[in-house]
Amino acid sequence: MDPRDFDEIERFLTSVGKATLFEHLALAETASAEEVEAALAKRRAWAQGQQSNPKFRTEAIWTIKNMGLLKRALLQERGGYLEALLLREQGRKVLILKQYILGTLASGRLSRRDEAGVLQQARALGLPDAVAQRTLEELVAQAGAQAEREQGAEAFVDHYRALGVSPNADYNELYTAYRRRLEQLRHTLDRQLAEEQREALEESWRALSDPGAREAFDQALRARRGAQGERPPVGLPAAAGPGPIERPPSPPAPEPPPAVEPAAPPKLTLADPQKRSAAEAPKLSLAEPVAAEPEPRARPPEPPPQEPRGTPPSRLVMEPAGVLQLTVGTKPQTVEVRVRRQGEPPAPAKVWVERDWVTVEPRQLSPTLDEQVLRLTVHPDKMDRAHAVALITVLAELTGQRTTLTLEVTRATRWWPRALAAAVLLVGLVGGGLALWPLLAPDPAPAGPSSGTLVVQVDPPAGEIIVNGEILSTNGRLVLSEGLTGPPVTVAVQLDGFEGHREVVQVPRGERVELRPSLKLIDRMDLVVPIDEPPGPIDEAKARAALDATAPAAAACLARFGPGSPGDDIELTATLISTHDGWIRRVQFQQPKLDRDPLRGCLRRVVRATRLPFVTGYGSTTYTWRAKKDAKP
Amino acid sequence: MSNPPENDVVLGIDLGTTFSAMAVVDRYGRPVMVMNSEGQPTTASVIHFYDRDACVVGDEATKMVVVDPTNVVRFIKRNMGEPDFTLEFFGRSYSPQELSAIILKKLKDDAEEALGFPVTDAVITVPAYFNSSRRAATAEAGAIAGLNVLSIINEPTAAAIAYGLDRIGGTRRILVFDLGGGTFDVTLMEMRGVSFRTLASDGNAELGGKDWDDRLLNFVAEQFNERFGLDPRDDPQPFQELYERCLHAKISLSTKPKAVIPVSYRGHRMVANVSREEFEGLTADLVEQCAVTTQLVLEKTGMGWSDVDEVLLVGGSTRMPMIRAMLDKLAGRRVQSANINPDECVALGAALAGVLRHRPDHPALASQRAALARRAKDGGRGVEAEPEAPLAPAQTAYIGLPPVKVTDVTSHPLGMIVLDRQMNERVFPLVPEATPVPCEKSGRFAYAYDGMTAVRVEVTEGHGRTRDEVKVIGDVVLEDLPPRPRGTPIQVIYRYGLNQILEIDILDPDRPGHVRRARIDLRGSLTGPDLEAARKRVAAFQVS
Repeated sequence: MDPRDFDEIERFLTSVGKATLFEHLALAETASAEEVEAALAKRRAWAQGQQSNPKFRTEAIWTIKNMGLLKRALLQERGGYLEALLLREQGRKVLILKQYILGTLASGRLSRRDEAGVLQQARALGLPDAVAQRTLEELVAQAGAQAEREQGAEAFVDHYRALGVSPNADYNELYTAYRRRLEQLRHTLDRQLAEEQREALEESWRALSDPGAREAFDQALRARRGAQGERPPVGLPAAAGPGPIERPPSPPAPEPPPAVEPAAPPKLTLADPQKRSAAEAPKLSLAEPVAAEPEPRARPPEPPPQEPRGTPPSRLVMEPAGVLQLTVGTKPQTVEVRVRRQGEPPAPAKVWVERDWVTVEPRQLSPTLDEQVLRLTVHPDKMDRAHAVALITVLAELTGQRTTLTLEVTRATRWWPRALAAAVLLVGLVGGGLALWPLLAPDPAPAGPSSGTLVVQVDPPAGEIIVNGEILSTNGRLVLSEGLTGPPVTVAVQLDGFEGHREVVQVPRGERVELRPSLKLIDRMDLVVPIDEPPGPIDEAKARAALDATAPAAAACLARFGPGSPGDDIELTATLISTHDGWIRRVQFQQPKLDRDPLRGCLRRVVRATRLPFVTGYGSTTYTWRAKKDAKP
Repeated sequence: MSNPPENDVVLGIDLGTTFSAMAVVDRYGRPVMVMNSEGQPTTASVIHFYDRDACVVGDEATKMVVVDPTNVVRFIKRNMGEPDFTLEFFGRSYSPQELSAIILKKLKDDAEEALGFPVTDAVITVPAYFNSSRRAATAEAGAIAGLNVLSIINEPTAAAIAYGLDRIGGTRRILVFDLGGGTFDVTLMEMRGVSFRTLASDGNAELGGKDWDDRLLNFVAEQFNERFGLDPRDDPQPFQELYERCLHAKISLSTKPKAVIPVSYRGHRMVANVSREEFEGLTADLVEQCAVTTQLVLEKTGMGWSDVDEVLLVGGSTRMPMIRAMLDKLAGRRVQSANINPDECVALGAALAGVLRHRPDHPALASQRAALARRAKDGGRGVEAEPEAPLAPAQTAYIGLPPVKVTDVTSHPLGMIVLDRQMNERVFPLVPEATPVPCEKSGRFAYAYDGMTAVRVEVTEGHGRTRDEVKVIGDVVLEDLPPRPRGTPIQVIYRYGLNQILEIDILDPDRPGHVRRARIDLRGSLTGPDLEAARKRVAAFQVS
C-alpha cells in the first residue's frame, strides 16, 4: 500500500477520532468483500446526506472524494493496509517500550532483572521479543557503554561499598554511614528512586549490623573474590551466560581496589608500542560529545547512588568525553586524550582497555597530577572488521569512580582477512586473562551509533545529492559515514537538464556502499531570456581557467570514446561559443572526424555540467583538450 | 427586418448554488425572465433522485430533503470542477458536471415549454472568481445538457449589463457585490460610454448564504445539545428539517428583529429564540470577510469609495441588513444601492450579453444601430463622444439594444514555469490578472539547453512566483524540434476565449510556414466520446 494513501487515511481517521478504518466502518478485519461493499455504500449514502451538514461536512466530503481510496484499502489492498496498521501499532508500542526502557536506564545500569522486566513489558504490549530486544539494544547502545549490566538477578551486592565503608569498619562507622546515606536520600527528588535506594540501603544495613549476618557476608565476599580470577574465558556469543540475552555478561560493577588488580592490561601480545608513530597526525573527527546523546536521560548526570558520595569529591574527567570517532588507514594511529582531576584529594587511577587493537599509555595514572595525557594507539591491522568500538575506562582506585570513553574506529580499507582477524581476537581474548570481558567485541551487532560508509559519485560530476531529503552535496560527490545504518537510505541526485536519479540503499554496518549514478540528459525548454543584450568581449583568462577545470573529465571522455588505437595521444580542439549571458551555446570541434556521437555526448555533458563562468556577452574561445587513448575498449 | 428564426434565442442562465434562473431577450430588445414549469422565475438548484433514471428538480426536490436526504443533491456548484467528487444514486455515479447538467436540462425543457420552440444556444454565468477548471466544468455541464454554450460570462458582468444598459452615457463605476447562496464575488466595473469594463474582481468561491445558515444551525443545535445532550445534526433527517427552519429564520431575520426556531428531536422539544443582534454576532466574521474582500478590490484598482458611483447588490444574501450596514460603514456614507431584483438581474444580464455578443443581427440591435447612425449623422458625433450627457428618461425608453461592448477580464493570472538565467524555476505570468477577454498573449522564450528536441510548457494559474504558490493546470509538450543551440527562440501563445477556455500554441518563429502547433483544452475531464455518453445519459433522464 502506498504510504501516502495510508497517511491520508490516518489523517482522516485522526480527524474523526477513530483508530482504524475497520473501527470507523464497524467492520471486522476479516469482513468479506460483500460486507465491505455494503458498509461503504452505507457510508457513502450517509456522506451524501450529510455533506451540507456543517458538523460533518469535512468528513462527508472526504468520504465522497476518497471512495476509491477506501475501496482500495479495504478490498484490493487490505493486506497492505493491515500490515501498515500493524507497523503503526508496533511503532507506537515501541515508543511506549522505549519510555519504559529509558526509565529503567535512568538509574545508569541495566541488570538482568531489568532486562527481564523489559521483555515482560514488551510481551504485555504484544511486541515480539525480537523487536523488544532490538529496541533495548539500540537504547543501550545510545546510552553508551555507561549502562552497565550486572551479571544476574542475584547480583552480588557489596554491602560495604553500598554503605561506603571499608570492610574493617566497626559498628559505629557502619551506623554513621547508614544514617548519613538515609539522610541524603531524604533530599532525593525522585521519590520512587529514593524508595528503591532506601530499600537497598536497609538491606545492606541488615546484612552488616547483625554480627552473624556480617560474618556470613564476609565469607561470601571472600569466596567471590577468590572465584573472580578463575572465571572461564567466555567471550564469544556461543558461550554467553544464560537468560534471554545473547550477549556476554559485562564485568560486574568494579570491586574495591584489591579486586581491580586482575584488571591489569590485557595481554597484548601483538601490540607493539614502538609501532606508534607520534609524527602521524591523527585524523580525528570528534563526532558528537555527550551533548549529542539523543536521550540525555540515559546518561545520569551523577554517578550511581551505590557509589560513595560526599566523602571523596575528586573526580576524573576525560576530554573528549563520550564518543570519539576515528578514521584510520592501514598504519597505526595515535590519539591523545586528556584526563583531568576535579577535586582535591589525590586520585590514583588505572586505565583499562579491552581491545587488543588499542594500546594505552600510560596505564597507571599519577595520583598527584591534575591533568595527564593518555595516548591511545589504534592498530588497524589488528581490527577484525572495518568498524569497531572500544571502551577506554579510567578507574579511580580509591573511590571506584569510572569514566569511560567510547572509541569508534573506522578503517578506511579492509584488506585483512576476517578469519585471521578473528584468530587474533581469540588469541587476544584468551591471552588477556580476561579480567574484563569484552563488552562489545564478539557481538554481531556492535553497540554505538556506528554506521557504514556511503560514497556517491555522479556522472557528470555535478549536481545536488540529497540523502533522506537533505541536500548534502552540490558538486556531485559525497562521502558519508554517519547515521546511515538502520532504515534504508534514500539517495537522490538532481542536476538541471538531466533526468533525476533516485535510489534506496541499505548501508550495512561497517560496510562501504558506492553509488555511481549516471544521469541521462533530457531536454527542457524553459528559459525566458529575450535576447536583448549586446554582444560583448569574452574574458579569455576566465574562460581558459574554467575550461582547465573540465580537462580531467574531458580527458576521460577522450580516453574512452576518442578515436585511435590504445596508447595514442589524442588532441581535441574545439571552438566554444557562448551566449549573451555567458553560457556555452555551441561547441565546434575542429577535427571533423572526431565528431563522433558518444564522444560528443560525453564532452557535451562535461561542458554543460561545468557551467563555464564566461563573462557577459557573446563570444568564442578555442580550447584544446589532450588525452591518451585508453588501453581498454 | 423580419422576425428572428425561432431558434435564434439565446438563453441566459444563472446557474446558482441554491437557485437558478433564466431569461431571454425578446425581439424588442427587452430582457425577460422565463418562468419554469411551476410558474416561478427561479428554480431551486436541488435534485431529488427518486428512481434510477428519474429525478425531480426544484422546490419539490427541496421538500424531499427532509424525507430522503441521501438522494438529494444540493450546493453542487461548490464542488464544480473537482475531479474526484462523485455522488452515487441508485447505483449510478454522477460527476458535479452531470448533476449541474440535470439542472440545466430542467431549465432548458422548461424554457422550451414556455417559449414554444426548441432552445439550444445559451450563455451561462459563473462567479468571477471561478478558476478555469470550474469554468470548464460549467461549460461541460451545458454541453452535457444538450446546450450550445456560446460563452461563459461572469455573474457581476451580467448584473452590471442588466443594470447599466439603460443608463448608458458618461462614466460610471459600479461596485457589484454578489453574495449568493454559495459564492461570493466583488467586482468593480466601469461603464464608459458604451463599453463595460471590469476593473478588478475578487471573491471566495466557498462563501455564501449557506455559511450564514450553518452558523444559525450550529447555534441552535448546540443549545439543544446543551439542554438534552442530543445533537439533531447527528441524524440526516432531523438535520435537514432543522436546516430548513434555520434557513427560513435567516430570511425572516432580514426583515424582523427576531425569529423563533422550533427544534424537535427524539421526543425532545425546544424553541430557540434568535434576535437579529445575536445572529449578527454569530456571523460577524463572515461579514468581516466580505468587508476585507471589498476593500481589497478597491485597493487593487487604487480607487476609493468616492470613485464608486453605485453599489449593485446581487444575490439573495445581500438582503441581510448586516451586509448593507457593513457596506455603509465601509463607504462612510449611505451607499446608493440600485433598484434591481438581486435574484433575477444575473440571468437578465446573461441574456442581454448573449445577444450583444453573439447575435449581431438581432432586430433590436439593428434598429438601435440605425437610430444611432441617424443621431451620429445629425449631431456629427458618436455616442462615445458624448461624455457627461446621460440620456433623459424619456430617451432611454427606446426599443432595442445599444451596441454595447462588454469586456470581461481574466480572474487569475495565467503563466508558465520557466527557468531564469540562474537556471532556477520560476513562474512567468504571460496573461496578467484582469486582462480583458478575449485575449491573445504571446511570449518569446528560448531554448534552455543546446540540442533540445522537445519543449514543455507547464501552464500555471494563480498568483505567485514559485511552483508551490500556483496551480499547474496543464502541460503541453512540443516534440520533434530540430536540435538547435541554447538561446534559440521559441514562441508561446496563450489565447483566452470568450468561453473562457485557454488555448496554447507553441511555435517555432525561425521557420515561418513551418509552424508546429500544440493545443490544450482545459475544458474539463470529459472528452469526445465520454461527453457524448454523458449527454445521452442525461438526455434519457426523466427530469421534472
